Amino acid sequence: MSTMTIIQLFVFMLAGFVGVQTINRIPPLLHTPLMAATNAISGISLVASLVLAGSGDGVLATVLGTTAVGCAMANIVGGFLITDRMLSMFKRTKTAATDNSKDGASSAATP
Amino acid sequence: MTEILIQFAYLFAAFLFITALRTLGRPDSARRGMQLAAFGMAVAIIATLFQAGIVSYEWIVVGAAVGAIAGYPLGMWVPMTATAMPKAANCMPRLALSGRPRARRAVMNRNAASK
Repeated sequence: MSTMTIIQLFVFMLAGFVGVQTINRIPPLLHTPLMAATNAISGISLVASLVLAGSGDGVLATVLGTTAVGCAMANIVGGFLITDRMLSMFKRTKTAATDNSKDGASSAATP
Repeated sequence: MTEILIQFAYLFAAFLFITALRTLGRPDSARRGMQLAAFGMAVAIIATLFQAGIVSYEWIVVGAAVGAIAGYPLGMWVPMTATAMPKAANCMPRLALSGRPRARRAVMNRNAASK
């Protein structure tokens, strides 16, 4: 096992901690938009498909890369738009939203 | 040198993504969190386009255009589940959870009638 692999394992473990700490104690009201935003962020796989589609490594690589670029781009565009729609949906009832979150926080704080 | 700058851009994008997830957890700043995530995505994509391994851009442009054209209606006009669901949500749990055959039969009859 090379030093690089060890460093990557360290990064993996730290990323796990960051993920748990980031997602922890989020009010249930925001679960759906957070899930949608996370799905949109997962479109970061676009960078790999960009490299593949532009590499000019033969027909198969170009076809697969272009397909991947299309899918990832649809994921990003649709994901961010739909998250925006969701968030604008409950911006209208902003007082209710903050009330809910306060309720969620207090009920989470008092076991 | 460009390679290192690209890696730093990726690092910055990762930082923005984590900050965005953190910001999305609070209702008052959720909107800003999403914009942070979108900005991070733009940084990562633009940095990737400067990569030395990319020699031709035409298929990238084609793929991106097709994806954007497919993704825009998906994001803009797909009905929200909150408005599309209630009909199914009204009868399904009662059908599944009800132990009374009579009520279940009534629900099924109503479903058959509405079809």
